[in-house]
Amino acid sequence: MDLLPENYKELLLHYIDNWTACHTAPAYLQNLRAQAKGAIQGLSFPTRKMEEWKYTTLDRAIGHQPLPPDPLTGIDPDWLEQYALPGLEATRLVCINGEILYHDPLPKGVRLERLEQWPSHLPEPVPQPHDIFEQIHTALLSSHWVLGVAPGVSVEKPIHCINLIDNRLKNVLCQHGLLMQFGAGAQCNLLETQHCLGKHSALNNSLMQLQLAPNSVVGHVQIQQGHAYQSTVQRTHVYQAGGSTYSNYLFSLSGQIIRNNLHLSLQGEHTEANLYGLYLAKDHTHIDNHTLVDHQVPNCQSNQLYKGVLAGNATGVFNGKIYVRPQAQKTNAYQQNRNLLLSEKATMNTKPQLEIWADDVKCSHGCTIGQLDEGQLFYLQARGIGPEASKAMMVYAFASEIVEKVKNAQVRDYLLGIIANQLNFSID
Amino acid sequence: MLQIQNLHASVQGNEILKGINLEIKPGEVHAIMGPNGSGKSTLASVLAGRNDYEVGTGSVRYMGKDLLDMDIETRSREGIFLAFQYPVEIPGVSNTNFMKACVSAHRKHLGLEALKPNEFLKMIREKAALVDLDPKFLHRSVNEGFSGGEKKRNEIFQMAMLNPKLAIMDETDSGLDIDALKVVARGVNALRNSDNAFLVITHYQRLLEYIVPDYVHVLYNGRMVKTGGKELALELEEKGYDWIKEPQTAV
Ligand SMILES: Nc1ncnc2c1ncn2[C@@H]1O[C@H](COP(=O)(O)OP(=O)(O)OP(=O)(O)O)[C@@H](O)[C@H]1O
Ligand SMILES: [Mg+2]
Repeated sequence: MDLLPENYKELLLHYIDNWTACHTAPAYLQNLRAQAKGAIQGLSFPTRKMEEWKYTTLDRAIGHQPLPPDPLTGIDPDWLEQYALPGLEATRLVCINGEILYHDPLPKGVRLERLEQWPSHLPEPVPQPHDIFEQIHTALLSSHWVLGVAPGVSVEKPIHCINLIDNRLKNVLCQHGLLMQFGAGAQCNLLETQHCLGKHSALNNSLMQLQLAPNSVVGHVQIQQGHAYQSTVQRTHVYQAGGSTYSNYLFSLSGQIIRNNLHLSLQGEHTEANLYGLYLAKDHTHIDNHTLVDHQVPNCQSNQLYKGVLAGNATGVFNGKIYVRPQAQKTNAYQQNRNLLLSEKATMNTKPQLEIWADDVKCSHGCTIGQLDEGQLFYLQARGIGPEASKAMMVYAFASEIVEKVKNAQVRDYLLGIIANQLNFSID
Repeated sequence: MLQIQNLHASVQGNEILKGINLEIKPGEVHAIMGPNGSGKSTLASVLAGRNDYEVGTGSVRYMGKDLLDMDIETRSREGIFLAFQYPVEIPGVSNTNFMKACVSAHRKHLGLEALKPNEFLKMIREKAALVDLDPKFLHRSVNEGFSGGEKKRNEIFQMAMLNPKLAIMDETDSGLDIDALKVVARGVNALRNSDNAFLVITHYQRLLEYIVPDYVHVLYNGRMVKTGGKELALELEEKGYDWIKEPQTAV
């Protein structure tokens, strides 16, 4: 039976009590959990009346009363092979239901610990308003995991974070998360993939925080895939110190409801931020990307390109905020959102939101929502390619522009394979 | 091979083709000339199957079949090739992948086995060499950022790849420098044989010095108003179109 959000909240609060009782934690985390639980009582699940959730409702995702999954212990590395990317040499880190249960030997200069064992104090992220999902994340967190790359270290192989959700026995609500710290001048590539193990409904409430010290360079590919009952609420908070470069590549390829919040704070001068996104939605999938690039200091650059393809009854949202604070002179900020609608019923809401308080800046934005070009379709068909194949070819071409931005060839091939498969498209 | 009888076509209620008659036999080269806006590209598009045009009365038979009844892609697979007056840019699709898709669709339709990757590579290299197409264009997106002349050359390259029975070339010569023109003509002449035919739309008799036509037709205001041999092209170049008014029966 489907639940109303209020009833679900009550059920959840009750569950949090039981869960907390049997999941011990260090004192600091116990405090955080208790605070978060208190906060949840005063918060409500998003409704369309909230500006930030105007076009997205999670009722479908929480209606099946997902609850935290049972703990799972011990995994066989062989079994993991199915979740590795073909041909990709990576350091794998496996997270099941939010707990890291396995990792390959870590390369030199890379550390992975629970927060309470972390040797140095982590710099406090800038406080920001936490919504109910972030509070739930904290209230049900078994432990904070921290991944760190030492200053000056270039990590050669990408770190592949495999997030698994165990929904084999019941509907689940998962808290995936990682705190990441990149030392001065460090270089690292991250890859995140997610998979469900079962068929029950799942809500993945993920929270990633990345801190980039001066002159560090981080590439971060996030691939979201799920079945028709799997939803994701994902936040990625990035804090960039001077001279750092962060590039995010976010691929939302399937699922029920996906809501992404990608929040970048450019806190030091001469930083560069690149945000690339590709979303493919069909049937009743809903994909919502909220991005925020916060230019807080002068002389920084951000580039943003999000592309989406919507078919069937799918719906999409893009909300791209760019803040240029009064002191952030000489900012260059670009934003593009381009969408292809493949059916009459598919809809897309796109809203660039530039708030500029400095005067000497270069900012531009643009968004398009269109259909496939008839002239191009005719050209392909006039060369003997059938209408469906012509369409698939053009959508593939549209989507591959974002895939091409990814630096790693195996990751690109993997993505192109999934996209081709979804489009029922093959070159041969 | 192709019989067009009393073909009428209109776009948004305006009649553009007002009763075209034309017969093309295997081995022949036909040229169509005529002032701007007379309907040359419209005729080419209708033959290729573009559905922006409403075809009224009239019939088109191709290789014994009703052409107007065929899908766009079937026409191509059955051997009709249109070299576009304005080739379309397709960002994100490489020339090679495009040709791979075309060739395999054609071969499948014709019941031929798919080419092995190395056979395809050999073919694409040979045909590129035939039209002097720099191999770097094979990796670039179809026509994207190509110069006007490069686009035209790419059309002839595609034509060589698909080896059509009936090639319709819509102003392939415009925008070509004299060397490129010779290359295009060389490509066409290399493909020419007793089983295929060419319909060459042009404004300039220069091209027809290299691709010598059997017939020259004048299309004027939606009708074929004059037909002659290759010397007609020269005459038109000298005198313009003013002296041609009344329709005549085309061959
Ligand atoms: N889609 C369309 N919508 C409106 N008018 C059209 C369309 N396509 C063609 N026409 C008109 O039909 C007429 C014939 O056009 P067409 O392109 O066939 O001429 P053409 O003989 O190829 O000319 P040119 O020598 O300039 O290439 C023109 O008057 C043109 O404006
Ligand atoms: Mg024309």
